[in-house]
Amino acid sequence: MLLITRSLTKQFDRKLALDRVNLELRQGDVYGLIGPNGAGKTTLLRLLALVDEPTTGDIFLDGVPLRYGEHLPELKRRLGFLPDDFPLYEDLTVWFYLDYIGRLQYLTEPDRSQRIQEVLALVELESKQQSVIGTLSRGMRQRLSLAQAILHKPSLLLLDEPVSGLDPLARSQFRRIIKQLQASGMTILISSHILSDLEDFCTAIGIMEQGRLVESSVLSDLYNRLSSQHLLISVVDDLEKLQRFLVDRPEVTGIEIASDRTLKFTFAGNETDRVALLRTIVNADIAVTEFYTTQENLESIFLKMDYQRTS
Amino acid sequence: MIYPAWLNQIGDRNPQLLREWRGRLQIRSFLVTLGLVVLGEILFATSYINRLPGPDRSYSAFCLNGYSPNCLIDWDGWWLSMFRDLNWLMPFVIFLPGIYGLITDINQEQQKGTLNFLRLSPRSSQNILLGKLLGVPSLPYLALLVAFPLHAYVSSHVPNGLAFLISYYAVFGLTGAVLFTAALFIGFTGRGGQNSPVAWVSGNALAGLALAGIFVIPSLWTWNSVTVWNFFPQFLTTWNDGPASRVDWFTIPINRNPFLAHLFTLSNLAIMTFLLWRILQRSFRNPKTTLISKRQSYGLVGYITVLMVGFAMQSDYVTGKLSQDYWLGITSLLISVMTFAFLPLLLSLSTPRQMALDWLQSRKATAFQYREQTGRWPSSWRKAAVADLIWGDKSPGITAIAINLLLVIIALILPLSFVETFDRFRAILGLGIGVALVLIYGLIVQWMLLLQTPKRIIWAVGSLSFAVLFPPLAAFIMVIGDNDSILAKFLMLFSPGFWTILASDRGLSTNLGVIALIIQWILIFGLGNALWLRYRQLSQALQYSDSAP
Repeated sequence: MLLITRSLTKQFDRKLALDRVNLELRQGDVYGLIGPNGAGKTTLLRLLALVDEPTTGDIFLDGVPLRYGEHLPELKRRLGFLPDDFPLYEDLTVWFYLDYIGRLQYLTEPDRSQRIQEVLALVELESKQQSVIGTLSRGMRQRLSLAQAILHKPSLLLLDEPVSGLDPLARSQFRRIIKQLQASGMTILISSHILSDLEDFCTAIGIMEQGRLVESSVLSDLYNRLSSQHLLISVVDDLEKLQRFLVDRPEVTGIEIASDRTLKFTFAGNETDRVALLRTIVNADIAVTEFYTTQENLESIFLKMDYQRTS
Repeated sequence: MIYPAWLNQIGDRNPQLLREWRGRLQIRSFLVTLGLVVLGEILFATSYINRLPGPDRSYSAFCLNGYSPNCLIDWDGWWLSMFRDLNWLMPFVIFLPGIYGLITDINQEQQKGTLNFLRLSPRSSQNILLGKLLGVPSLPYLALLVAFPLHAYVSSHVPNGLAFLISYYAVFGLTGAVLFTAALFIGFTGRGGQNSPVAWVSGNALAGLALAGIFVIPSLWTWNSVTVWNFFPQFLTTWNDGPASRVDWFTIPINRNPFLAHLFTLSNLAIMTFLLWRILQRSFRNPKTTLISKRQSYGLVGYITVLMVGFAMQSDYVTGKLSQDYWLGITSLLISVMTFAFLPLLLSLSTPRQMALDWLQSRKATAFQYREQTGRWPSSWRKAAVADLIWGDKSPGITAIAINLLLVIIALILPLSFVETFDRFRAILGLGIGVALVLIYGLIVQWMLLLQTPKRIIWAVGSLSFAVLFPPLAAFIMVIGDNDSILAKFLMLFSPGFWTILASDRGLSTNLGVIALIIQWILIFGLGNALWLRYRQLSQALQYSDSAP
């Protein structure tokens, strides 16, 4: 495991912002952290980035304890952090800013310049390298902040709401960058409100609520356990025959007639099961014209879980 | 941008320094500084040239033969006067802009949130702070570099000028280290968060500037003129009375021997820089903790106490033995100063509410964890709690304040045994009252910092100010009506100025002093008990439970 937290707790006055969070991240994971406002996502990321001190609990990076307030150069070099407010030095040029960050991270020439070029290309800011940061747009500043977080090739990248406030184009650009980082093998922990973005590249998901990590699993497991799959089957004429055929099957529930030639039902099975089902229907001499699957997405799962918990 | 190799190397070693240089040493600001210093030098020299006698000025202070049409110019006096003015001007011109720049720089970084980037970087706090210290005041350093040739040139026209100049810049350098380190620390005190006990200081840059300009620099330069520069009295004062009277430290004359004088002043400046540097580093690494750690407070108080007691022990002019009179006067001053010195210490050591809660939570969690593993509560619980109260950063500050007081008491009682003519009972009574007052103030501050209101710092400072100022103000009002009011004197025993009554008013019955002391200690027990109950309440209110999540 690259990152492990043990009973990580943070109390702000009488409010328990984080309540005994046990989190585990494997090397190469892209872990999405979701939850409503005030669930504790930012607090967790700030503790992991050593910005805040936990009230109790431990953090281990590759088995070595990460402790707030201590001089840990080796461990800090393995961390990259993009906070939600991404503060920057307005008076510096893009190049000088990254050069300064590179030096802080012990990068030396000629590697430093080469690496700056690489990250500028990755975040698509090559043409802005001599621009003063104060003149950049919000999207560019966000990408520049990401550039500073990945400049030293950290093993763990912490991103706090990286796409909030960005327009669809900038979000898509950001998504593309994250995918490239994922392909390079970087472990990423990302919190976001935009669940469709996370769905696109996350390998694992954690759901936070009232300071607790109420769900933490690999994305495919989460879908298998919590996501319902709906099938829509259209036939030429014999809808009743299809209904009779399906009603006794254990993996089929909630059959309803969608139109005069289409049935809709919930199917509890994986891809192989779906193939087997279609084959059986065809073998039963039912003339199928359409076979369509819809899966509940992350947002639906999240909303359903939230509803379950708050009710 | 391509840097020269040497600059690149400096930047690799200390990126912060390169960043500050790059931000500040722009061509425009470089030329403006250069221009201002040269212009200042021209104006300074012109004003001196204008003071020489000329066709339209027959009288001049620099005429050897007074008011005379054929004035014989006192060139030695002219150069000396110029040198004296420069010696006084230099610290103000260089230190004040540096102090202001450092405080505002840290304030700005905190406001923007960029300071966290520096904290998260793998560079050591030492590396980053050194970069700030050397880089932020780059323009004042440049000004010093430009101003130095004139200073050196003028020094070459006065006897012993070069020897003085070497001594001057040694003291100047270390004074700069103390002041600039202190400025960075003041910058960190304006953190703006609720956790900083002195975060209420919003105009800390101006406050730091005023403190340095009005009090610190003049005091330091006056001190230097009677100690380390006592051998060149003409270079700082116009008194022409020869060297200042003897200054002793533990009866050792420290201004009679140039080597000893320099050793004493320079080593004290170095110790101050070291202590401030340690405090600063901690403040940078952990901005949400108390301003100084308990360990640091023991070192700081120990150092100040030894320094002060040393000055209290002056030798008698005639016998050369320890002076009884000096002891009496300076001890009274010392006790009052100590009472006042403890006020900022109380604010710096008392733990804010969030930290107190963290401490309680952490202790509770550890105990629960132990019980979960072993089925019983930890037996070393109390022992650990005592160690935590003495050394722990998050535990209540009142124990550390009591320990610091103990240090002062030991240091004061020890030399008391040397005094023969002194009323020992009054001295001990004074010590008791001093200790009691500090503890009362400490308990009030700690209590206020635990309040739930977000303005708890204002409450703490307000309550402390009230506790300190109300008794003398009330006493003052009473004295207006009755010059010899016993109640007014009694009230004064509840203020930091209690020693003025104890030492000077022989008419005051010692019984009254004892009654005041008893009341104070009853207050301490009452407040201490209330504080303990408050901690218990907070502990019970915490959301932590031993149930599984």
